Amino acid sequence: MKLATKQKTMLGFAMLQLALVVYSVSYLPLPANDTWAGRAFNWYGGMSGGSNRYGFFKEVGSACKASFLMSDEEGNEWQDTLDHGISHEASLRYQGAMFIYPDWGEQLSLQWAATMFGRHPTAYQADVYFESIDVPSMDEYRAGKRPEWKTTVHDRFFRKDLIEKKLLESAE
Amino acid sequence: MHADIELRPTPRTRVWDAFLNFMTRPASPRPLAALRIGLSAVLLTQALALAFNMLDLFGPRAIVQWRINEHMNVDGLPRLAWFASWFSGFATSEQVTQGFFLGYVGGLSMMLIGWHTRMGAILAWFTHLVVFMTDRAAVYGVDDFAHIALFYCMWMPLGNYWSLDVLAGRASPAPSPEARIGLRVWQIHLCVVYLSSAIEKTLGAGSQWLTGELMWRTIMMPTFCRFDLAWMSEYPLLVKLGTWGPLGVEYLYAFLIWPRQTRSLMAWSTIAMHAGIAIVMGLRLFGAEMAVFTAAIWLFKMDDGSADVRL
Repeated sequence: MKLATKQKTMLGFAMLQLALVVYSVSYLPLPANDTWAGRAFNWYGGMSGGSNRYGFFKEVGSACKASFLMSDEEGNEWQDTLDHGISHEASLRYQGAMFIYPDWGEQLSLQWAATMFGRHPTAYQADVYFESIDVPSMDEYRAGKRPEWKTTVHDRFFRKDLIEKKLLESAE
Repeated sequence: MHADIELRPTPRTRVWDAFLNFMTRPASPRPLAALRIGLSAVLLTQALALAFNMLDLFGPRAIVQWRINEHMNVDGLPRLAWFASWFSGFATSEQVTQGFFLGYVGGLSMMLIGWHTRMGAILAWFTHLVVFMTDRAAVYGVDDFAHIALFYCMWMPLGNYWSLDVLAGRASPAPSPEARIGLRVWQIHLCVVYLSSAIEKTLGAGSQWLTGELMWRTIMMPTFCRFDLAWMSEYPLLVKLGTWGPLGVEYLYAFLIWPRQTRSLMAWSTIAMHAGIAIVMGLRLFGAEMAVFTAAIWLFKMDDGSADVRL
């Protein structure tokens, strides 16, 4: 079978791509990231998706969420969540983003509190609650144990401009 | 007197010919066109679902800001922050994000109708890479597979059937070696995906898939479960079968999808598995995307029965 140069090139490229796909899932050692080979492997893998692994849902651990208690100067309190009023598809992504909280907790709390202050201009204080939930086994569930959200982190933030305003008022 | 010389192929030549026949025997681009239309329809639906929250997910002040995502990205992958910096003289970071998102929708639309399909695929792949794939905190399986698919769409003959390119005479719907190469890459890649996924799930002591615990944990997890299925705790065998079923489908895919006799059963079992995941866990677009892959690549004829593998 005679192939044109373009077809030979495409076939060669296809075989290299498939080799990368198979190698990436094989758990064979990958080149270190501080070598040119490692950087090239990671870059091409990132561009093509060829270096992915497919252990989706290998296990289901605990779930987590962030919730917010907002307060104004009159002492009124109300709750909100980041994914309030968004589409289901966007909500799935919000849930995914929660899993980086253990690595970036303080910065994310700060950022999300700022988001809440932007959403609620009258709020003076934002309490950020990061909660997680674990699922009892089937045996435990039959014995009466139920999944329960537990607060694992609590941060409190105040609106800077309102604090400055209050300080000015008290100074006058 | 001359003896007749018969040139017989050596075993090595026969293997090489069989390989070339498997990979390059001309095939219809019809399955690839089905994949193009299905994939772009799914991704356009996704884009529509994300459009009103696009800046909250991908913008400079998104739920996870660019500076945090920066630490999770592969070095050298193009990202929104670069373009926002380059265009900072005449566009805000938000406008750059919106521009890329619009480019993504435009590329997918070109793919859907098959108008300058390759250009559309390049545009969709690049903008998807920049907007979605460098926002690692907010992506999930649907995006990883979209990225792989769009990368393949750039160099496979996707616009050679059911397209405006064919109507305009820019592309030929005739069977071609390029279509066969594209299909084989997809078929083999899907087999690798399902088999490696199944192996990963069963590796390690106490695998939730082997103990049958995974389905229980999934249906009880408020972030996933759409329905109250707690009553299933009274039927542990049902829960175990519900876990082992998808695992069995993933293990068997790579072996039973090739023979003609079992192909339809395997393909429809896989589609049913993804439909089940979509319904129970709410991963509708992920389910639709994976179903499109299997349906397009295995259920559409490559040409007059030539899809069948001759072992």
